[in-house]
Amino acid sequence: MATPSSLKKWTTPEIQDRNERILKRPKALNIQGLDKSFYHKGRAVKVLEDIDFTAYKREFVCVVGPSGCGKSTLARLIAGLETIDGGAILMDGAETKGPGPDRGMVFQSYSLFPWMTVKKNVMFGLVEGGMSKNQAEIEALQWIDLVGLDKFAESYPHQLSGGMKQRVAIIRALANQPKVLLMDEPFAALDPKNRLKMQQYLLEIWQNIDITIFFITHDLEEAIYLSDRILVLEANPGRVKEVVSVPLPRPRADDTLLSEPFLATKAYLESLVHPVEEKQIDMEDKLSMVRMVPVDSEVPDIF
Amino acid sequence: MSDVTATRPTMSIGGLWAGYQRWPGWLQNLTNATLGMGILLFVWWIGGLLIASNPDTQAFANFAPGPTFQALWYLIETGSIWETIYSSLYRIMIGLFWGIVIGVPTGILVGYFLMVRQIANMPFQFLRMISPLAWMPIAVLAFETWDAAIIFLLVMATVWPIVFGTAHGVQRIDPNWFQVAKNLGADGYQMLRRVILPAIAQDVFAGIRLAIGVAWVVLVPAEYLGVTSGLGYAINDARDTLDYDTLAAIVVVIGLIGYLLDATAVALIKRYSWRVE
Repeated sequence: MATPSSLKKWTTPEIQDRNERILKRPKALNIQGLDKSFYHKGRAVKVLEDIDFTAYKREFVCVVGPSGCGKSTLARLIAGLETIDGGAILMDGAETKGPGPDRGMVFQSYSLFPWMTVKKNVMFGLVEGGMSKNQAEIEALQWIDLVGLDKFAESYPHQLSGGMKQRVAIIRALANQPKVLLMDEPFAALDPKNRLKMQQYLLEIWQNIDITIFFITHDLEEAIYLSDRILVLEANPGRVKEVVSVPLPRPRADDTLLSEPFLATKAYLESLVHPVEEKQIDMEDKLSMVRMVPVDSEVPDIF
Repeated sequence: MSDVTATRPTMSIGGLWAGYQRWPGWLQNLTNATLGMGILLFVWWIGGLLIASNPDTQAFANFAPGPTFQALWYLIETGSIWETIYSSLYRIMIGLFWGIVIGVPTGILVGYFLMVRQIANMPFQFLRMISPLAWMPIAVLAFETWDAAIIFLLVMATVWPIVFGTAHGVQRIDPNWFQVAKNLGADGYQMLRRVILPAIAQDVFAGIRLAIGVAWVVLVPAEYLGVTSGLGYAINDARDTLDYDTLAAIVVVIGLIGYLLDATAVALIKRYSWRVE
């Protein structure tokens, strides 16, 4: 896990020191030699091969990779929603079997229960966990308060905006007090402005509670902005390509997204995720096809 | 003269229409519903006049609204109608009960498991298309009492809409809900009670609404069978005794109860609906 040379000059001693301290923390989530195949029309397709990774306590980890690298599958395996073919997933040193309340999950599609109010949605896991209705209600309202939705406690999901729905989905997962929060592209469906707001929200929550976040995304900027370390996967089959420590100080500065270390990290990740670009030629071909179509235009040239 | 009409534009058709459009929705609805019933009564009344004026059909003049409502009032006054209604409603409820008890679990299985769906599809579509009344001879052979035979016919009528409604609801469940529920610690029973049932409730009630419609239609001819109670029997009895006003009064009662049953089902669908288009 050596820092690549292009990022080295941005890794100040403070950042270096913090990154090293993270790696000395106790392990929260430990993935060992994980294999997973799917069977499609009798043929096995290897999705993940020999994944080794450790997330440390209260670390924020993002997973990026080209589409089809199995990053969503990885989150679902950790959550226990899929069965493991080989290897093991350990939480606090104990092997996991099936789903468990120590691993909360947030999906891109929010997946709130539309027949329940916001409050009932948040209470769902608490009641499943054996808590009394009254106690669950008190706790749910505290969580709803925390994300500023107290006015919407009795509203139904269809009355909420996308960002509000995702806040409910997040607190529904957090109310169960998981040790690891798995997030599968949770903000992908939001518009850019709301996405940034939600990212800041999430960092705020993460800083204030004892939780390790394992965040799947295809948005490299999002990954850099949020995470301590980025797990880069390669596709076909999904394997660990590299683990990149983000050379940015915490808390993130307001202009982080335009800072040089940010852009350098993005360029480096870009080279890992999309190594060769051959699209240029294809585009030219297609454009010449378009030009061949005669257009009886009133405006002959836009320049 | 023309000055007078010009100062009262509200009396023009356009003015009336504009005034109508300003009414609240419920008032428009109520007015139109009343208008609809008015038209029905009017057609009925005309029909009664036509029947009475034709010497060939004069004997049936009691089908007209006047005698019918008198007979209806008599039935209510003497209280004899209540037992008739009770017998029919009892059969409907038992038929519906078994339709639900058999139909909902079957529908869940059909909706949830692709293999069950593939196995069940052809036979169910085949059976569904058989008129419930076509089972009548078999029902009479298979069941000892007439009541049981009628209820069997009603079950054959109610079960299919409920099976298909339920299966449709299950198929429309967002698979992510299962994952979320699993992730939040729900086991199989909780999944059924807190996710599957509320998710499909409105489709089940839509199936029940269709089932009530079919069952109510099937009930009357089914009650022509051996039994000596119920609305179907009462109609048959009135025909045999040439009590045409009573016959028409019972037809009115059948329509009214059918409407109330349907309204109940609609209220249930509304109560349990969560889909917002």
